[in-house]
Amino acid sequence: MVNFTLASTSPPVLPRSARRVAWLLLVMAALLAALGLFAVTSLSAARAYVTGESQWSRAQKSATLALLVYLQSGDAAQFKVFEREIAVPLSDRRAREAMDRGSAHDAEAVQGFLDGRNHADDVPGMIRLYRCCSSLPYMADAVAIWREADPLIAELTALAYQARALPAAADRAALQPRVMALDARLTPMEQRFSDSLGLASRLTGALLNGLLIVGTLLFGLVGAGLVLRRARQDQAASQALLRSEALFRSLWETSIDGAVIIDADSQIRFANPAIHTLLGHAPGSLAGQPLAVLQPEALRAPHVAGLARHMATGEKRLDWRAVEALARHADGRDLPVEIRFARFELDGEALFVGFLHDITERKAAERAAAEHRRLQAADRAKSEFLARMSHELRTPLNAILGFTDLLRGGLSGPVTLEQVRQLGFVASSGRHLLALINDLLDLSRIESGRAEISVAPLDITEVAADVAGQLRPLAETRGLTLKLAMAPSLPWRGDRLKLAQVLLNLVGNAIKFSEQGEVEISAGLEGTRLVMAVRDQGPGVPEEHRALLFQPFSQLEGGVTQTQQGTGLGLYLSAQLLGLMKGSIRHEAADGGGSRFVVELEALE
Amino acid sequence: MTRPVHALLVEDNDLNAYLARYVLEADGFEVEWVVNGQLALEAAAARRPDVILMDMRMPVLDGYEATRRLKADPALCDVPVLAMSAQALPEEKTRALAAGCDAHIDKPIDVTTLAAQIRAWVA
Repeated sequence: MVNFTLASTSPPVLPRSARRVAWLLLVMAALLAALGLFAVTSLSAARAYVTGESQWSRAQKSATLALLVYLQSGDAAQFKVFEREIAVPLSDRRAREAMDRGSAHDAEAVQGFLDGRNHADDVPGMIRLYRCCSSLPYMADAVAIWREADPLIAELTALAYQARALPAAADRAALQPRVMALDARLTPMEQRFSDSLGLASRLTGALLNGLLIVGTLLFGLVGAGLVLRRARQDQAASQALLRSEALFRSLWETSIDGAVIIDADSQIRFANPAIHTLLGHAPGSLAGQPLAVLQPEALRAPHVAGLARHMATGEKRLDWRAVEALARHADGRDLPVEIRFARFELDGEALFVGFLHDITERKAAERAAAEHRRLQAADRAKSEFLARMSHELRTPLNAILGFTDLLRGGLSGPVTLEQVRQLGFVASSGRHLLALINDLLDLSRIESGRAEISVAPLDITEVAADVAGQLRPLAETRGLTLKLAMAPSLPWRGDRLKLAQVLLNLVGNAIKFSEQGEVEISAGLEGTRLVMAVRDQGPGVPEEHRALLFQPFSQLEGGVTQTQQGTGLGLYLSAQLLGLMKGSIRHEAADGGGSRFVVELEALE
Repeated sequence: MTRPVHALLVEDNDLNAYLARYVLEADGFEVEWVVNGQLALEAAAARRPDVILMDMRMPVLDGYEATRRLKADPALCDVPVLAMSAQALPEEKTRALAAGCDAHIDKPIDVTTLAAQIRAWVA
C-alpha cells in the first residue's frame, strides 16, 4: 500500500491573516493595560483628593479652633497655630489656581499641593485627574464646592488678621460669633465636597471596573473566537488534504497505465498497482527495488547516465512528454511502452514520476498496417506481372497460330494433305497452350481475389443457347447431338460472362469425353435457386475418381486420347467461378451411364 | 474498281505486323505500317487513313495515349481505331475502350475473319 503526501501541511511563513490577528490581540492587550493603568492611577488620584480633603478639613478645623482660642486668650502661639493650619486650604487653593492657568504652572501646582500636606507620590496623579476630569459631573461639583470655600477661607483669614490688629480683648472676643458662623458654613461644604468626590471616585471606579470587565471579556471572546476559527481552518485544511489524498490515491491506484516514482539514485519509491500487473510483479513488491528490474539490459546504463547528466546540468536529452521504449516483464519479455516523465520535489528531494502506457496493440496494429501495405504492393506487382505475362505469352502465339492457319488454309501457297494434317497439330497445340494461359490467368485472378462479379439481369435460356451455338460445330464433328431442355425464357440476375464460361467448360467437357449419343443442357428454378445440369451419355466417371474431379490437372489417366484436349483446369476453374457467385457444382452418375454435372445458384443482388 | 481501303497498322512486333499485313493485303487492303504511337500520329496527320489498327503496349508512345490524342484531334477523331492487343484481361480491354478505341480485336487474331472484322468498320 503506497503512502504519500502530496502537499506540505505547514507553510514556512505565517499567513497575513494570522499576522493581522496577532496585531489585533496586541493592540487590545495594550488598550486593556492602558485602561487598567488609567483606572488605577485615576482611583489613586481620587483617593488622594479624598485624603487631601481630610487634611484640608482637619486643618480648617484646627485653624478655626486655634483662632477661637486666640480670640479668647490673645495667645500669640495660638495665632501661629492658626496661621500654620490655614496655610493648608490656602495652598490647595493656590495649587488649583495654578492648574487652571495651564501646564506651564505645574511646578507651582505641585508646590501648592505639597504645602497642602498631600503626599508627594500622589501629586502628579492629582494634577492629571484635575486636568482630565474636572469638567466631569460630580468632579465638577466637587471643584465648584472647593471654589465656593475660597471666599469663606479668605474671610476667616481676613477676620484673624483683623482680630490681631485689635488692641482690646473684648473687641477680639466679639469676633468669635462671626468665626463660628464661618465655620458653621464651611463644615457642610466640606461634607458635600467629600460626598461629591467620593461619589465621583466610586462612579469612576464602577465605570472603570465595567470597562475592564467588558474589555477583558471582549479580549477573551476575540481570543477564543480566533482560536476556534484557526482550529476550524486547520480542520478544513486537514480534511481538504484527506480529500486530495483520497482523490490522488484513487487516480494512482485505478490508473490503467503503470506509474512509478523513482529517486535520483533510480531506486523505486512508489509503484502503482497497474505497473505491477503490467510487468508481472507481485502486488506491492516493486517499492525499494532498483528501476533496473523494469528495464531491458540495454537501457540500464543509458538511463543511469542520462539521469546523472540531468541531475548535474538539468539537461533533458529525451522528450519527456513521450518516449517509446521497452519495459522488462518479470517473465523476461520486453514490452513496447510509451513513457512520460516528470520531475517534482518532495521535502527538498528531487523525485521522478514516470507513466508507462502499454503500446503492444498499437505496435501490432502498426506492424499489421505495414504488412498490409507490403501485401498491397506485392499484390499490385503481381497484378502487373500477370498483365505482362498475358501479353508476353500471347504475342508469340499470335504469330504461331496466325502463320499456321495461313499455311494450313493454303493462303500462302499449295500444301500437301500430310502437311495440312501436321499443321493442324501445330494449330491445336497452340490453341491448347492459349487455353492453358487463359485458364491460369483466370485462376490466378480468382485466387488473388481480383476477379469481380458484375451482376445484371439476364436470360439463362439465351446464355445456354449462345453456348450451344458455339459448341454445336464441335459436337457435330464428333457425331453428337446437343440439346437444350428449358423454358423459352428464364430470367435471372447474375454475371453473364462467368455463367457462360462455366457452361462452356461443362458442355465442352461433355462433348470431348463422349463417343456417342447426346449432350443435354437443362435449366429450371427450384424455389429461389437456379438449377442447371449438363448430361452426357459418355463412359461416366468411375467411383474412385469422383473425389478428384474438381481438383486441378486431375484428368483421368488412361481414358484420355490426344483428341480429348482440355487444360485439366476446366472443372476446377468452374468450381472456383461458382464459388465467387455463391453457387455450387456437383457430379452425379446419369441414368443409363454417362455423367451429369449439376450447378446450383442463388440470385445475386 | 474502287480505291483500296487504307489501313494504318501500328505494331511494334515485326512478325505480328508481317502477319497482319499479309492477311490484309491478300484481301486487297493498302497497309501502312509504323512501329509506335508517335509515328502513328505523324503518319495519320500526313495522310488520313480509313482505319487504324492499334497495338496497345508499345515503346515511345503507347496505344492508349496515341488513341487519346487521335480522338482529341478534330481532323482525325472520326477515323475508327481498332485495338489489337494480346491482353485478355477484361480491365485492359475496358481501358482500351476508355482511351477511345472503337473496338477490341483479341490476339491471337483469326486470319480467316480479320479482314471482314475490319471492313465492318470502314464505311
